[in-house]
Amino acid sequence: MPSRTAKERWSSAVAMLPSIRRYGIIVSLLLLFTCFSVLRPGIFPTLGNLVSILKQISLLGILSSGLTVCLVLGDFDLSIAAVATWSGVMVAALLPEMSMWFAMVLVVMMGIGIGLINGFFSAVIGISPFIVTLATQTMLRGLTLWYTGGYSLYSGIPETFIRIGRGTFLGLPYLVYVMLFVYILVYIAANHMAFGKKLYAVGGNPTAAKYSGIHVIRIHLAAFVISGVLAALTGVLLAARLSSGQPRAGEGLLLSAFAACFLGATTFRVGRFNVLGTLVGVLFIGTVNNGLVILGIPFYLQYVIQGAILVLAIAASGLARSSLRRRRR
Amino acid sequence: MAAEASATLRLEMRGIVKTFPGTVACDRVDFDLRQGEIHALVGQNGAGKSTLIKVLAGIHPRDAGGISIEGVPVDHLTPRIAHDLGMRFIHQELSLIPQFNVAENIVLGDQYPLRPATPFIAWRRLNRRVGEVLEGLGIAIDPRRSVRSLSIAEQWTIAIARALYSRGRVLVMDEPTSSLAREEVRELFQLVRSLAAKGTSVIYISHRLEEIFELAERVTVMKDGRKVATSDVKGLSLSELVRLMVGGQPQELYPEVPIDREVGEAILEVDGLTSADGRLVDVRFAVHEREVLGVTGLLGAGHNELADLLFGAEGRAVDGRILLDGRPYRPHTARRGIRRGMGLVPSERRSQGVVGEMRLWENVILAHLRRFVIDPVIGLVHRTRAERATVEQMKALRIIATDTKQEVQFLSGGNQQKVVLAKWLLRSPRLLVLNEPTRGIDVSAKAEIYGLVRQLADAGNAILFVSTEAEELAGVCDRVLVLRGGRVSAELERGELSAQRIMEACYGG
Amino acid sequence: MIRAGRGLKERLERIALKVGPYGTVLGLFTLATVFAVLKPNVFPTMRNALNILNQISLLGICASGLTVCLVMNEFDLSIGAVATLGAVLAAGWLPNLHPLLVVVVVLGVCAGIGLVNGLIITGLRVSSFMTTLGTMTALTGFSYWYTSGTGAILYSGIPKSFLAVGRGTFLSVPYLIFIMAGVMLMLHILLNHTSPGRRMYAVGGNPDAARFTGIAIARLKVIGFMISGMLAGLTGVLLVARVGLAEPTIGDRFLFEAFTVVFIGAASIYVGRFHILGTLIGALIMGAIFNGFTLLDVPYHLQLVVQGAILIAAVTSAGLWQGLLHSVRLRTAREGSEPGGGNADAK
Repeated sequence: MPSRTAKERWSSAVAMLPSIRRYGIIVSLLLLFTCFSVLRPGIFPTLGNLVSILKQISLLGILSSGLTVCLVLGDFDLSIAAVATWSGVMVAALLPEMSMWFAMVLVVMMGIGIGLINGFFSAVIGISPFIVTLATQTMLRGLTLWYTGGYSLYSGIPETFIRIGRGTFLGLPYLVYVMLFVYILVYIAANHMAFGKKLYAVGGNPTAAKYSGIHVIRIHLAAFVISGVLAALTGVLLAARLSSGQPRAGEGLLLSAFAACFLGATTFRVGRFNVLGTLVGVLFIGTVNNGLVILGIPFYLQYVIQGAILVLAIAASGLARSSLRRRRR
Repeated sequence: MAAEASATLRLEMRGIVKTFPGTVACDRVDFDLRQGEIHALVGQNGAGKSTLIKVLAGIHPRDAGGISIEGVPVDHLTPRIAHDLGMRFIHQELSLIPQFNVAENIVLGDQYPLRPATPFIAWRRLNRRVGEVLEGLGIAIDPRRSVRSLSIAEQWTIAIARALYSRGRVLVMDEPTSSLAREEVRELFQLVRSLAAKGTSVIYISHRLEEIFELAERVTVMKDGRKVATSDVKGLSLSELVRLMVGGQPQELYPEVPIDREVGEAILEVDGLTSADGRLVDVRFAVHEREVLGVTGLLGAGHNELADLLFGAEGRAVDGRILLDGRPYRPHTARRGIRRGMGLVPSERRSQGVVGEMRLWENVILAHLRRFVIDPVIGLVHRTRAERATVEQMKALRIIATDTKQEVQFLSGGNQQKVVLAKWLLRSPRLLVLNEPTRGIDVSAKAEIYGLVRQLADAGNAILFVSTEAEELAGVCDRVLVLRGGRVSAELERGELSAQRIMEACYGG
Repeated sequence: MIRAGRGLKERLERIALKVGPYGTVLGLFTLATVFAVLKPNVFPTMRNALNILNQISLLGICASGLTVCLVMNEFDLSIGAVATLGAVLAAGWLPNLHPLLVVVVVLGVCAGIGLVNGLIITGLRVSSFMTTLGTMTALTGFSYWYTSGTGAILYSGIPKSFLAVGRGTFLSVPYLIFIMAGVMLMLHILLNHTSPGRRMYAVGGNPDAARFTGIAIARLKVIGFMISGMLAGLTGVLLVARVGLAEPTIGDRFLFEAFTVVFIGAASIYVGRFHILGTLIGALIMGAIFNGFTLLDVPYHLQLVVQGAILIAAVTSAGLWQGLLHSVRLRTAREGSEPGGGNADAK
C-alpha cells in the first residue's frame, strides 16, 4: 500500500489552514470557555454567569452591529460612542417632559440626523470619514459636557424606562432580547436584502457597483444612518440600564466596538466585515472580560489583553487577506 | 561577425515563456536590443507586449527563458535589480510625485547631493546638476517648477530626464505620444534620437505605426504571445507591417455573418456629439436592432470614451443630439443609462465590471435587483429565483464555475466577462455597449463571446462593439465605424470589412 | 481660440485660488483680532501670547510627531496612550533615578513602541489604524496597572529640577516653548532638507512610484512610527514636568487634538500636504481659541464644539479648493492646446 509522502501530507494540511483559520475565533472562543470553566468550575460555566456575559455585551453588541455596516464600506465611524453618550443624556433630559416612547423615538431620530451629517460630509462633499466623524464626535462630546455640566441626569426617569434596562423575561434581560433582535435585523439586511447586496457591492468595488446602477452615495448615507441610529439606541438603553444620563457613559465602547468588528472580520468571510462575525467578536470580548474578572485579574490588565487580542486579530486578518490575494487570478 | 554583433547587445531575451491561469501571455519570445538602438515593439492588444515588458521589469517572474544584460545572464529579476542594471520604464500612468518640483522628481530613486559632512540636501547643487542634465537633453524647463503645472508632453520629458539622471541605459517607453500634439511629438523624437546617439538603447512601444517608421531602426512584431518577426524598419512598408501584425486567423474563430442581413429600426441615433474633454468631435452614427456596430480607432481616437460617455459612466457631452428608442437621451449617470435600457461591459473587467468578492449569482443579479426581491418594500432577496436565473445564464453563456456560489474573483477572465454579460442580459437591454470585451481573454473564450454576440444580435438586440482589435471587428460586426482624432473618419460596410481595411482606415488610408 | 479669463467668474476663481491656501492663517488672524477687540487689555499682550504658546507647546510636539506618520499616509492612534505611558513611567521612576536617565529610558521605550507598531504594519501589511488602536488599548491598560490599578495619581518625589524644566523660563520665555520650537524646527528640516524626509514625502505622494524607484518604504515608515512614538513619549514626560503629576488618562486628549491640528495644517498654505508649518498654524488656532474663550469665560465644552466645527470647515474648504484647482487646470489645458491626440493632421 503506497503511503503518502511527507510532502503530500504537508500540502494537504496547509490546504486545510484557510478553513481552520476561518473558524479560528470560534475555536478560540470554545477554548477560552473551556479554560475558564476548568479554572473556576463552580463560577464560570453556570447559567447565571452565561446570562451575565450576555448582559454585559448586549449594548456593545448593538453598537458594533451598526459599525459593521459602515466598515463594510470602509467608512470608519468614530462618532458612535459620542452619539451613544449624547443620546443617553438627551433621553434622560427628555423623559421627564414627555411620554417615554416619544422621547426614545425623538432621540433615535437625532441619531438619524447625525448619521446624515456624517454621510453628507463624507460621501457627498468627499472628506475622509475618519476626519468627519472625528469632528462630529468632538462636537458631540462638547455638547454633551456643556449640556450636563459634567453631572448625571437622573431625575424624572420613569419606572417603566428603568425596567427596560433592568427587567428580565424568562431569565434573560430585556436588553439581551433587544440585542438579538437587532442582530437578526441587521443580519437579514446585510445578507438577505437587496440593500445588503448593494452594500457589499459598493464596499467591494465601488466602480462596478456604480456601473451596475447602484446609487453609491445613497448607500454610504444609509450606512451612516444605520450606524447613527444603532448608536443612539445603544445610548438610550445605556441610560435605561444606568437609570440616568451620564456624560461619560460611552467611553471605552469605541475601541471595543472596533475590536469586535475586526475580530469578526477574521471569521466566516475571511478578511471582510460581516454581522455574524461581529457577534462572535462581541461574545469573545465579553467572555474574555468576564473570565478575567472571575479570575480576579484587575480590569486594566483586561485592557492589555484586549489590546493584544486586537493586534493578533488584525495580524490574522492581514495574513488571511494576503493568502487570498495569492489565490486570486 | 556574429561575435561582433553579440558584443554590442545591450539586452538579450531568449525563449521567454510566461503563463497565467488560462492564457499563455508569452510563448517562447525572443527579443534583443543593441547599444544605442531604437527598437520598436508592436502588436495588437493582448499580443503580449506588456507582459514581456513586465517580465523585463522584474514585476512578473518568467516561467522559462533567459535574459542577459550586457552579456551577463540574469537569473532572478526584481524591480530593484532591473533598476540597478540600468533598466528604466516610462509608461502612460507617469510615476511623478505631484507634490515635488521638477528637480526632485528627476532625482527620485537616485541620491540627493548633500552638503559636505552634513545630512542636508544641497539644493543649489541639485538644481544645477538637474539643469545640466536638462540642458544636455535640450529641455528648457526650470528645475524649480512644480510638476503639477507641466503639460503631459513636459511630464514625459521629465520622466525621461529622470531615467537618464540615474544613469539609465535602457529606456522602455510605453505609448508616449497618445496625448501629445504633433509639434510635441516631433520634439520628443528629437530628444529620443539624441539619447540613442549617445548610446542609450530605447524600446519603443506604440500603436502609431507611422511613428515607428519615423523613429525606430528595428521593429519586433508580437501576436498572440508569440514573436512574429523582427525586421529592419528601412525597407518595410506600412501594409507589410500591418499584415505581420494581423496575420492569418483560423476562420473558425468567427461566426458566419451574412452580408445582406436585415437590420431593424434605429435604436440609437447620434448626431453632432462632442465631448467636454475634446476626445469626441461632431460624431454621427446610428445603431439598429439586430445589428452589431463596431467602433474603433487608434489609442486615444475616442472610441473607448464614446462607450463610457453613452452609458453615462465617464465624460460629458457639450454638444449633440442623441435619440434612444426615438426619445431624446442625455447621458448623465450610469443609473440614467441603465434606466433608458443600456448596458455596459466596461473595458476594465476587474476594476469596473465585477465585484470580485461577491458570489456569481450576486454579481449576475446586481443590475436588476428589483426583479429578484420577494417584496418591493423591504427588499428581501428571492434566493431561488435568483439562483434559477443564474443557472439559466450559466447554461446559455457556458459559464464555467464550481457553482452559483463561487466568488467571481476565482473565475477565469473569460468567465468573469461572461458574468458581466449575464448581468446585462437579465435586463434585456435595448442597447448593449461592449468596451474591449475580449481583452485579456484566451482564444477559446473569445470565440464563445463572438458567438454570443452574434446570437444576441440575431435575437433582436442592438450592440455597440468597441474594440481596438481590427480582426475581431472584421469577424463579428455588421458595420464598423472608424474614429480618428475624435471624429468619424470612415464607415465600413459588411462587404468591405477586413482587418487590413480597418487598420488602414485607422491610419487614415 | 484662447481667451484669458476675463469674466467675473474667472476673476473670482483666480482670487479664490490665490487666497485659499491662506484661509486658515486668515482665520487665525480674524480670531486674534476678535479676541483682541473683546479683551483689549488682556489678549493682545506679549504675556498672553507667550501663554498661548506655552499652552500649545506639548500639543505641538505631539502633533509634529504625528505629522511625520501622516506624511506617509499612516495613522498613529496610539500617541495619546504613549503620552500617558511616558508620563506615568516618568513619574514612577523620577523619585528614584536620575532625571536624565529617566528621560532617556522613557524616550527609548516609547520609540520602541513605535518600532513595534511600524514592524507590525509594514511586516504584516495591515492597517495602521487598527494596529495602533490595538497598541493604544494595551498601553492604556498597562498605564492603569502601573498606577496600581486604581488610576492613582503619581506625584511624590518628583525632583524640583525636573519641575523647573516644565515651569521655568529663559529670558521670560518658558523652556517648553523652546523645546517645541526646537522639535518643530528639527522635524521641518528633516522633512524638507534631508534625503529620508523627502523620500517620506515621495512615499506619501505616489507610493507606486516610490516602490519602483527602489525607495525603502518599510524602513521609512518604521522610522516615522518611531519618531511619532518618541515625541508622544516626550510629551508625556514634559507633562509631568509641567503639572508635577501623572495619572492614567493624562495623555488621552492629545490623540484627538493632535489629529485635529495636523489636519487643519493640511488645509493651510501647502494645501493637501501634511507639513510642520501647517501643524504649527493648527496648534496656534487651537491655542488662540482656548485662550480667548477662557478669557471670555466660555465653557470648555463649547470650545470642543468649535474645535470640531473648525476642523470640518478647514478640511471642507481645502477639498473644495483642490477641486477648483483641478477643474481650472483642466480647463486651461484644454484651451491652451489642441484637443485630443490624434488629430495631428488638423494642424
